Amino acid sequence: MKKEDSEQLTRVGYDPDKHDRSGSFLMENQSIIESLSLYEGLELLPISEAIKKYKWVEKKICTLVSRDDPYVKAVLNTQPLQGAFIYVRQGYKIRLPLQACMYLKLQTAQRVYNMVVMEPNSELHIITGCTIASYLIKGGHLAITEFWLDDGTRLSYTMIHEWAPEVVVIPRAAASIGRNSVFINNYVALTTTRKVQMAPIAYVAENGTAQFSSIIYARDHSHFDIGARAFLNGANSNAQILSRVITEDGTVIVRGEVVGIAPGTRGHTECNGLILGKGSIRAIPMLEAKIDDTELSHEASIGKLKEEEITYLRARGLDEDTARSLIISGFLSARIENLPTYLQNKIDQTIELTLRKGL
Amino acid sequence: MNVPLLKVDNLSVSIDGKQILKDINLEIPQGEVHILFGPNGSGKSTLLHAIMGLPGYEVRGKIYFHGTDITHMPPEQRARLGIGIAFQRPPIIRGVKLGKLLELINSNKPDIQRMAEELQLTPHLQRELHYGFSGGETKRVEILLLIAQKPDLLLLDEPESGVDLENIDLIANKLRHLLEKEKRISERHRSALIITHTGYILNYLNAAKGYVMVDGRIKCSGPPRDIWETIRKVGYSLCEECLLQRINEKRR
Ligand SMILES: Nc1ncnc2c1ncn2[C@@H]1O[C@H](COP(=O)(O)OP(=O)(O)O)[C@@H](O)[C@H]1O
Ligand SMILES: [Mg+2]
Repeated sequence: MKKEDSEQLTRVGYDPDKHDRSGSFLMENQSIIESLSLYEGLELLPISEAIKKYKWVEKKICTLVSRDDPYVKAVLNTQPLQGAFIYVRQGYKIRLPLQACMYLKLQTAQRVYNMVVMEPNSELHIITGCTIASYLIKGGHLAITEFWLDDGTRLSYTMIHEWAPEVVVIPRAAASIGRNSVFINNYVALTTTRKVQMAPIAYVAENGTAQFSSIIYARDHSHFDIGARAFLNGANSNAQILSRVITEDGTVIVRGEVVGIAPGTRGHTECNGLILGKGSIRAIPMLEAKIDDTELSHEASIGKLKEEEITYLRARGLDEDTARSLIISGFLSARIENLPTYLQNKIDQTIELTLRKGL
Repeated sequence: MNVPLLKVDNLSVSIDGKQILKDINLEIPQGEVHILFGPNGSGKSTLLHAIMGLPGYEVRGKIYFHGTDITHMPPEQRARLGIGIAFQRPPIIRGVKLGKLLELINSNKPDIQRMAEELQLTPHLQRELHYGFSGGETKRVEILLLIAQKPDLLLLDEPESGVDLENIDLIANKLRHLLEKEKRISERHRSALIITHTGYILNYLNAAKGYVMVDGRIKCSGPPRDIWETIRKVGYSLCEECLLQRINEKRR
């Protein structure tokens, strides 16, 4: 791998040496460069091969996301389908993260279909980096990812995006979350991007948990329309949708939708926004209760940097710029519950590096 | 060395055109601790903030530190010259870990670890600044940050308010150490201006001088213990007339 490629990929969580990784997947444009499981109980294949190997794979495709969505159609019309098939066998609890990278090296639209299947009582942590070669400023990324979490499973999916100013990104994702299962979905995007639009969906069964966190820094002309939707279908299931959003001349729309369907369910959506310079943030919570025994809430706050906090740090000897960037990176670095320390650190590191580069 | 560490010369301070402090004069020589008393809202915190150079205050008069005119210096520059403040009500800063801030202030990591341990704040290093801290923890953290800064002049805004006795003991002993109270006067080089509502701090630090502020003015100054005794007996109600007079009468 060329040095500049490995540098770019490293920034979004890909380790070329695959240290402490349970698996590694790399897709460049429409080609799969690497698809490697390093762990027993974990299968990692190009989706095209998985379709040949397992009959049930093709039947599952696009049964969770909507086939009416034009972007879904666009991906399905790309033959052969290309992307990652990630399959964890029953009872395997894999703590080391699996890395999956989608790398755009041509000025085209990358089209990806990913499938994650977790058998009962399994555990997996995925770090997905999506990025573009440093010499490109334009491109597209359309991706579908569908997750099947059987009962008693735990899956964290941390997505770090680092795009270029004229890239359009339209991911579609949906998860079926089995009984007593936990799905943690994290999204980090801190660089200027023409347009990102997505709202992954979770269908949550009995005692299941869906947890979405988004960390967004919308610079320049960036336009982010992001969020999540959770359907609490099973008794005592719960969902949290949390967003930390900064706009600096960009536009951000944050949607958080929770639907309480079964008894004993709980849902919460929360958006914290910070406005620097111009730009806008629109927080749109949507709560729907279909039963009286459901507890749904939302919380949103949008404001500017607090002068009192800057002053406090200046009085401790920090110059104004250092004080600001410390507060900004603090604002973005929300603790994500249930996330392995390694991944939390990776998120914190990404924030710090990107901010340092930007300021 | 005749130059006082801090000299406040005819200082008047307004906020949004409203005058808060009027003609304040005071001098703190190197190695001395001075105490500022006064009822709520009299302007004590405002004076400390003005000395620290916090924005939002319109200042007339002069402030000298080590003989240098610092009246119009930004706060970070004053901090680097050696002025440090422990805030009465510091802000919560979400996501900013105490340990991280300490590292930015003082790069000596083992030193920080040890100081945190001594103030029973080791677990707090990983926590967000002042977020969910108890009153006592907040005050200890302010002291820890000051210790990391090692300023020549300590501005302490009610360091013991809302703190239980055990923690007052901890805080005050740390301050005594920082102020080199175990050394001879001529060897001390740190000074402090301390606001107190409880007077406890007087039991730990040998303070040289006290002031009473009422309605933005320093009404009197004198031996801090005498002033405190009088305040405890009669409160600030008689300050308008002049506390000092009563103290002097008592002496006679
Ligand atoms: N930022 C501010 N804006 C307006 N008034 C203020 C501000 N800060 C302090 N004051 C006023 O100045 C006076 C002195 O306040 P302060 O210095 O906090 O008193 P103290 O510390 O003695 O209790 C009070 O009347 C207070 O309301
Ligand atoms: Mg005060």
